[in-house]
This record gives sequence, structure tokens and C-alpha cells, in this order.
Amino acid sequence: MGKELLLKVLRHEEADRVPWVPFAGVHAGALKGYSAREVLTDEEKLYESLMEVFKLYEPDGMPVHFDLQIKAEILGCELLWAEENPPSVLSHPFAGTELKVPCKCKIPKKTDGRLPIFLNVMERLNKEIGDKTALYGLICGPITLASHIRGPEFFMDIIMYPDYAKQMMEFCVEVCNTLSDYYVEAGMEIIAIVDPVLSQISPKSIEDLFLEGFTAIFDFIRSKDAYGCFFVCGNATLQLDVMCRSNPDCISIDENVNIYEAKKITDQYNITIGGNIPLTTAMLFGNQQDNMKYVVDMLDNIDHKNLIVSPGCDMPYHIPVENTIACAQAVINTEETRKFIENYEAVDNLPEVTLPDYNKLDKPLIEVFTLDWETCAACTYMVKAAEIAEEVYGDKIDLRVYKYNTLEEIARTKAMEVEKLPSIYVNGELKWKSIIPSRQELTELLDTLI
Amino acid sequence: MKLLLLTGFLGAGKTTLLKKWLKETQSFRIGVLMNEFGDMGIDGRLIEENGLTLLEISGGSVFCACLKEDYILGLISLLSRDLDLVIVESSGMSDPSNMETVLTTVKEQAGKGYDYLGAVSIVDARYFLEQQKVIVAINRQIAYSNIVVVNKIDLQTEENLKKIEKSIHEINPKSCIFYSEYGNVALPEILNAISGRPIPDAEESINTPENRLKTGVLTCEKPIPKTDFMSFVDAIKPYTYRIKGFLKSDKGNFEVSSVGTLSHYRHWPENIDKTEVVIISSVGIKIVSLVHRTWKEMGLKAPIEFK
Repeated sequence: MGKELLLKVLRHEEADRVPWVPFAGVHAGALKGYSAREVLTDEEKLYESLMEVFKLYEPDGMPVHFDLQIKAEILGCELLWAEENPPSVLSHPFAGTELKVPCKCKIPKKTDGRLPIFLNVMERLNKEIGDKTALYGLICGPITLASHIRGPEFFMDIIMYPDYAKQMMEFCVEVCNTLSDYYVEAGMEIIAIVDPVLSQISPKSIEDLFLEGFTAIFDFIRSKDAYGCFFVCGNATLQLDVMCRSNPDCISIDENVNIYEAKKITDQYNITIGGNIPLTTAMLFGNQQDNMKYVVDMLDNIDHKNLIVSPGCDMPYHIPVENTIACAQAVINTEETRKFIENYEAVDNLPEVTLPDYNKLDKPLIEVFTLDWETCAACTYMVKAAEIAEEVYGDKIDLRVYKYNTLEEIARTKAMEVEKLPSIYVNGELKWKSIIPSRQELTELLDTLI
Repeated sequence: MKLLLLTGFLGAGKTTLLKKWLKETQSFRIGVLMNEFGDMGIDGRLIEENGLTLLEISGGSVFCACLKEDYILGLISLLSRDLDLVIVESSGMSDPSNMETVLTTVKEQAGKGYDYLGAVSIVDARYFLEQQKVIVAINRQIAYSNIVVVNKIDLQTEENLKKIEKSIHEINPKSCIFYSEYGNVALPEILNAISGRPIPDAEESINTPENRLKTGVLTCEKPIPKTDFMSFVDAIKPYTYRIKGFLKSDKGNFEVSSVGTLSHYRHWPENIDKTEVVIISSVGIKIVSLVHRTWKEMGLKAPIEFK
């Protein structure tokens, strides 16, 4: 295990091998038989589970949690808890026609909400294993936090009320900086700003409204002698350049982004890139050989400088332990692993699916393809945008939402040749990929079909 | 108990004026309620040397909904002291136009009320004409004041002083204007002039949480070379409304005050643990990057916190 190895890579130095960082959030609980809710609300269970991650997966770095709802909960959002997923946000306290920003006095204190649990675990882990593995403190990014407290309207605010959107984001930046401060004090050496919904916003809006805020976050983290990583979900290919300009030490991407092309961009800015083992097709539903093959192929085809191998995002609860171990082996002992996969043949275990006959539909059919709309914030807001159609047209349309975490729905996504998640299809045709449609765009299209 | 409100934008000279009043007026027992915009009480420390009844409320404007409760409780607590006059020095970004509503609540809660004399607003002659165009709070402070003190007139031309007078009377035709250098207007003169003047009508205050400025406190445990710190302040002051606090340097301790292009460093005789300076940004959150990057680019070694 090599904490120093990982830190070297974050300093953009040459290293002996590529570092490995498994994102075991709720999956950590699965290793000890605890539910997602248990590990996110019980200090002892979280600590025990993370020690198991450290033991089993030999991480060079690891996050202490992957819960993006901690701050939103403190700021008044109701949460929907699940046993095998992190909680999701149910209500948005600043929704509505009045354009309000929370008062600075609402910035979380160390004693608020579930923060004491995580801060205590951070301190304990730092004492126990902090010299061997680099600990990541994950913080929900300011845009995702703004959309949690304001609701899906925040995406319209960016267009209609940009000054307000900027003010709201700047409040969220202050919240992020406060948490960075707490986490670094508790022993975190790497702060990851996780902003999944960023891929839904045009690079120009990010540049005009939010770039200064993100830059302030990474400058603040650096002033604390910690490293700053920028995590994004979904197809963030277009946003990568502006993300680089916010000057993080590392950017982490999921399987929606082509890592080979992405690295060409991050290399221009001398920024480390992390990614992007497919969470479901390889890690959840694949076998050990699939995972080894994926990682070895990736390492064979990409420059190792400024590179971290990790899952694309928070690992699903039920990922088989052996698949994660296979990934670890492939990174740590690449040459030996190569022998295991000499005779590799991919096995297609996907079931047959029958797609709707799009030429004979009774009424317009809206299909939303998501990674997991309950846990992936970008997907949640894409689904909420599509649900506007139900509000407006009632039973004059059909709405179906799919998750990329069952074999049947993976098969459906493949049969439809969906390239990027989340995407919205109408009557079998791709209409929006990654970027969330506005109410007006959606209704203009449906008016022509009804 | 009489109550006087003192308003004025950041750096106009409120604290200087108040300190003079406290020093020169021995016949009154005066209590002061101070409102600091940042999280740290810089002005409070400056006033405290006079040893008087002082309450501080920090973190925003006392007229903002979220601090109003602290403000009301502070006023109630001062009512029980043996005082002749309470002066409320409000933060530079305060919009005091709902003062009367606050005082009615105090009366309801405490069972007795204040004899509210009115508001005095102090403006900086040097920057007023520019600031007034962009900062709504300045206009609301003048609109609600019975008296306006135009301070630092030695730094402005006659012609511009006439423009300032015209502009103040356009905002508030009934206001009485005093002119001063270094806040040299005596309290009895103010009290004489204010008596009998009608209080402007109450309005909903514009001080909502969202129009707060970004403020941060720079702290440093180690002594900083004074010349380096002065260069640092010169580099960042174009991006600030105000820089104010205490410097612990290799040349001793200093009170730091910067507004616009002017910076002052006054020797501070008392012991301080560390450098603590409030920076009020005029460029929003970008100030975080500017502070850290400027510090680093200038090669300053002492580790700082800015939050």
C-alpha cells in the first residue's frame, strides 16, 4: 500500500506504479453485513467497515464516506433513506418563487447533523492507518448542494436569474470551505469535491458563474496543505477543460467519459486524472477476469504519469468482493494479473429484451435512461425534468425510467445503443443526453407530438 | 433611556466619531451596542479601551432577519443598566429603515422602551459620490437619518462637496448636514440638532441574508515583516471595500485600517496573540483565491488562515 505513492502522483511526480483508490462508500458496510443506513449513522459500524476495506482492498487511498447529503440534511433537506444506497434528497427548503439564499449563520458547525460521526471516524482512521493510506474527505460540491437546497429550479435559475445562481453557489462554496477545514483538521490529506450535476451545465455557464467559486475552493484546500480533487459524474467531456481551469490537483471521472481522450485534456494542465472502472457492467455484474481485463487494458493503453485507477464513482453495495480484489490485483501486480487473463473471453450474460414498437405507440413515450436515479444526483434531476411532462400532460403521455443496475435494464440500455447516461429518449429517439432539458424545451417537443 | 443610532458605510469613520464622543462626553453614562459585519469584533476592541458598557453582535447586519433576535435581546439587556444614552453603532452594510419596528418589539418584550432620538449617518466625503451609485445601503442609511455627517472633507474639493450636499438632499431633503475632518463633531451639538426632528417612516429593511458581503478573517500566528504585510495589503486592497484589524509584526503591533486607496498603520500598545484582519471583499468569493495566491506569489513564509 502506498500513501506516499498516491501523494507523489497528486504532486505530478513520476511514481513506481499507478495508485489504486477504491471508492467503497456504502459497499464498505456490505463487507461487515451492515446496511447503508447503519454505516452512515453509526460511528462504530462505519469505522469497523472501513478497516475492512483497508484490509481487503489494499488501497493507496480511500474515502471515509461517499454521502453527498450530509450538508443538505443540515441545511434543512429531508432525506429518503435506503438500506443499500446512500440517502437521497426529498425536499428542497429554498424552492419556490422567492429567490433566497441561506444565511451565513446556517453554515454547518462541527456538532451539526451527522458531522460528529464522520469527524470522529476520520480522526480514528487517521491515527490507525493514516500513515499507510491517504484518507479522502468527500464533500458535496457547490452546484449539487445548491440544487439540493433550491431544487431542480436551480437549473432554470442559471438561465433566468444568473446573479442569484451565483450568489447561491457562493454560499455553497463557503459551506464547502468550512467542511474542508473540519476534514483537514480531522486528518484528511485529500479533499474531494464531488459535484455530479456539473455535467448537466454548459461549460459557458460554469465559466461565467461558477469558475471563480470552484477556484476559491481548490485554493482554500491548498492553503490547508491538502490536495484537492474534483469528482464529476456523467458525460462531463465538454466540461473537463473548464474544470481543469479551476486548478484542482486531480479530476475523477466515471465510465461516461472516455478516459483516453479526457487524459489528453488533463495532461495539458498537468492535472492528475482518476477513473473509471465501469461500476455495473464490470464491477457489479462482471466476473474477476472481466475486471482484471478492463484494468490491464486501461493500463496498457494510457500514459501512467498523472493517473489513478479507481471505480467510476461510489461502488454499488452488492459488488462482489472478489471483483474489487481483482481490480486491486490488476493495479498492484499488473504483470502477474496478465497471466490470469491470457485466455480471456468475454461472456455475455445479458438477458433478451424486447424493445417497444416505436412506430405503433398509442401516445408519446418518454424514456429516461439513468445510472441510478435514486443515488446519482445528475440522474435524479434528469428524472425530475422528465416528470414535468407527467405534470403537464397527465395520461396523454407515457413515462418510463430505467436504472443501469439490473441485468435486464443494462440489456435494454445496450439494445437502445444509449451512449451516455443519463439520457432522455422520446418515441425511441435520443433527445437529450447529459444536459437537462428546460420545461419549455420539453413541452415544445411534446406539443408537436400530442 | 435615550437611544441614538449611528450608521455609515465601511470606513466612513463611525468608530473614530464614536471614540471621540466617548472621550469628550463625561457627563453622560453611555452604553454602546456594536454590530460587526465580520465574525470577529475589531471595532469592539478599539472601543473597549475606554472602559464602558459595550455589547457586540457580529456576523452580519443587526437589521438582517437572522440577527434581529440578538439585537433585540441586546437592546433589552442595556435597558436594565444604569445609563443615560445608548448608542447603536451599526455595521457598515446596515439598512436601518426598520428601526422603529425593532424598538416596538423591544418595548413589548421588556415592558419599557427607549426614547429614540433618531439616526446619524456618517459618509466618507472622499468616496461618497462613487459609493452612493452602487451601494444601496448607503442611500437607505441617508434616507433614514435625521443628521448626516460628511466626514474627511479635507480630502475632497469644494466643488465635489457641493455635489455631495446636493445628492444627500435629493435622497433626504429634511436631513441636517454637518461637515467634519477626523469625526470632529461634538455629541452635544448632534443631540441639540436632532431633538424635535421627525423620524423618517419605517420600511422593510433591504438587509436580507442574501445581500451580505463576503467577509473573511485573515489570521497568522507568527510575526509578519511589516513591509511585506503592507505590500500585501496594497496588492489586495483594490478588491476590497475595507481591511481592518491588528497586525503582529517584526516591528511591533499595529492597528491596520484600509479603505479605498488609503491605508493606515497605527502603533498598538497592547499585547496581541496573532495577526487578525477582517477583509471585506468587493469581488465576492474570488477574494479567497486572491488572498492565498497573493500571499504565495509574494513569497511570504508565515502560514496564514483566511476564512
